[in-house]
Formats: sequence, structure tokens, C-alpha cells
Amino acid sequence: MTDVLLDAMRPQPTGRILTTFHPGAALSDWSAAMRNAAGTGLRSLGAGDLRSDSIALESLSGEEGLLLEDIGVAICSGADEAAGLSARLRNEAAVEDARPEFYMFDVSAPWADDAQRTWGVAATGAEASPLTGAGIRLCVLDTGLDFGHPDFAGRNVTSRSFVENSPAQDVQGHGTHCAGTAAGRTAAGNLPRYGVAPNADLVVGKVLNDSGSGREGDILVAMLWAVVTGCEIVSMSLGRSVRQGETFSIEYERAARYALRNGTLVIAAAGNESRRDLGFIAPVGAPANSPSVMAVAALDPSLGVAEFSCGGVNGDGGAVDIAGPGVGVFSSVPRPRLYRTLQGTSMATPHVAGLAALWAESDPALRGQALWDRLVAEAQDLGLPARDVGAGLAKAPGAGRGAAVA
Amino acid sequence: MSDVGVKVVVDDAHLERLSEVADMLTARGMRIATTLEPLGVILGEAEETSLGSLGEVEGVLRAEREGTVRLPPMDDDIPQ
Repeated sequence: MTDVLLDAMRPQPTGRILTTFHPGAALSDWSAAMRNAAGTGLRSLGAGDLRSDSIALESLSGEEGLLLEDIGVAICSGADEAAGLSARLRNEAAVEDARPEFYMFDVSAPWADDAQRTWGVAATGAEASPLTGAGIRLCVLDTGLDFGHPDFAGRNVTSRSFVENSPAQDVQGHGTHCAGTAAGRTAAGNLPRYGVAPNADLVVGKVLNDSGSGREGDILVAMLWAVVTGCEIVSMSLGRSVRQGETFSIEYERAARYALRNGTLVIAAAGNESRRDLGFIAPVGAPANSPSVMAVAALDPSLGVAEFSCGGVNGDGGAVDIAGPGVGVFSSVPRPRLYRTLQGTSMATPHVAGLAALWAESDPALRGQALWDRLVAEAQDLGLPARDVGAGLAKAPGAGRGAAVA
Repeated sequence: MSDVGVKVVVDDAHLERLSEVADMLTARGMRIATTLEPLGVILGEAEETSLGSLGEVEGVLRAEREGTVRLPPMDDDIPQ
């Protein structure tokens, strides 16, 4: 699989040849070399020609090579035998190198936040989508929510704390950031839209305490609560790392299967333990490594995989399923700070959860496994290994599609 | 000996007989707090030294200390 992907990314030859001449050789030697090897002459193109409008750069016929005189480089037709011709050219004394010419592609400009929306809201297509998640119950299991945050004023928010002796009010901040990405508000004043599904019904389950730690039992109970209270989506930016070769825990798998059977999609962060700069890819953590939990990898603003993002190196459900924006993510945090830019698969996960809410709004048949399948089918292929990004960047229902089904 | 949070996972064959398993766990000293029927999970407390004994109950796949998850420190430079 990886080989196929690498093949697809290999540079594609144009059929023409780029020849670099020795700078010490005379212009006449360059022409002679070209004539000896290719049987064609050289038409010289100097700085003066480039300044004039009359030169037609594209009119490179098979008859003669085009010489960029100032840099000693010629472009000529490979005449259906590019390899042989390259070799003959390299044998000429006046030639330093001759090789096939390759097509060049623009390096994608990185996405960036602007006054209207964050880069994640734009790159996922949420900004362009007519859908907003209205009527969809989106549950975030995390450290709670700052219920007094001005951006959540007037919103339909349901909450419950599963942490002993602790209200659902967020103190640590992680939960408010994740909830903001999934379902924060639209652009207002000088602040961009950062919520993917700004009209979703936000359901907040506090399972991590004010120090950011939580008990597995509380998480399992909260997952069941989200299902029985009719949430279409559960976003879990939490987990623990696993060892190479470690399999999933059956209790999380049962919880996620129970959820899918009842029309709830569970989405979880793949984890941040990789050091790709050192060549190390850590396995997807738990519970994202359960086969029935959708595991989310993190992308940077150039749509490359984030260097910390875990990969699908364990079998048995330990694959990455999809990817979302997870570097330089602007979202809400508790008062008085209000906003913060963070990174992690924790930030990528609520992007995908918000997108799932848009899809669920677009079609009442898209629930549970059907919702999973649609997200994966509509993901943008990034030309990266599935090990790293799964199906690719999760996307919103397009304007046309959304309008047709809304 | 101090009590610890315990998570017991029941095997597929005993998913319909959770209460029987729970009774046997109770008999071995576990104080049951919650039974999650759809998941085949029984949560509660027990002395740490009794985990081996709880794991030998018929129908129990795993009896272990309840695990925790922990977020990294809130920091712009630390992946969350």
C-alpha cells in the first residue's frame, strides 16, 4: 500500500531533457555537443530575449534545443528516447549533466487564520457549508465547559459532571477549547469563527477533573450517558498511550459498538506520542485504538501530518481513521483569558466531531456507522500514507450537496 | 491494606449473567458501585491484594485497578 502511494508521489517526467553545460566550455562547444548527441542545433535565449515580448517560450520544437545562455542550460525534446539521449549528452565533454525534465507542482500554501475564520474552519470546508449542526446533539467528554464564557451565552448547553464532588464548570481549560472547536460561535467583532458546528446542541460531560485527570469508569459511564440521552456524536480528546503490539480494551470496544447500534458515533484522539522528527511513530492510543472508535490524527496548516501525531502501527483496530486540523488551533478557554492557540490530536478530534454534526444535520439517515462511512468517503485524500492520516482530511458537506438535502 | 478502585470486565459468555458474577465478586470482598450492563463492566472497590481472587471468578475476563487518563500540562508548546 505504501509503495503504491510512494509511486503516485514520484516525480513525473515530461519527456524533455535538461542539459547543463560546463561553464568553462565555449558556446560553440555547447552547440557542437548538442549536435553530436541529439542531431539538433541550439537556439540561444539571452537576457535581452527574455525582456522582449516577442519570444515564444512554449514553441520548443523537436528541431532544436532552447539554450538559456546565461546559465548554460538547454532544454530539448527527448524524441521518444529520453534515457538514451541523456546518456549520449552526458558523454559529451562540454556537458556537465543531462537528465529528464520533471513536472513541477506548486507547494500548497499553508492555511492561515484570518478575520473571518480559523484555518481549520476553512480547510475543512465548514466555512463554505450551509450547515451549522442545528438540531444535532454533540457531546464533548472532557474537563467541562466555562459556562460563563461570553461565546457560549444563550447557547443550548446540557451538562453533567461524572467527577466526584466537582461541578461541570471547566477550570483546567482543555474542555472549553475542544467544545469551542466542535461547536463554538461564528465570527463576531474582530474574532474569527472557530466553531465547526456553531449551532449544534452542545452536551458537556465532565470526566476529567480540574487537574486534567480522570477515571476510566467515569469515562465509560459518561459514554453510556451520551448514548442514552440521544447524542449523535461523542468527541473524546482523551486517552492513554499503548505499547507496540498492544491490542484494544474490550470494554471501550463494547461501548463504541453499543453507541453505533444506537446511532451514536464515538470519535477519539489518536494521541501525541510520536517524534516524527526523529523517525519515531507511536501507536494510536486507547480508546482510539478500538475498532469501533474513529481515531483522529492531527494535521498542520500545510496539511502535513503533525510531527507528534500517532500512527497506525498496531493492527487490530489500531489504525488512524481520519485526520483534522491539529496545529495552531485557535479556540475558547475559560475566563479571564477567553482564547488560546493550542496543538494536539485533542484539537483535531473536535474538528471531526463538528464536521460529523454537519453531516448528521444534512441527512437524518446519517447516524452511527452510516455517519462514519460518509465522513471517511468524503475525506480529502492528502496523498499521505493511511498509516498517518487514514482517509485524509475530514470535510464538511459541500454547498451544493448541503443545499440539495437541507 | 487500603481499598482501590476496581474494574471487572466480564467475558462474552456471561454478559447475560452479570448479576451472578456480581454476587460472586461481592462474596470475595468487592464492594460494587456500578454495573454497566451494555458493556459487561462492574465497577467498585476492593483491597488491592484481592484482585487475583476476583480475577478467578467464573465469567471474569479481567479484574484490575481502575485505570486513569491524564492530560498533559496546559502549555502552548505541549501537544494536547
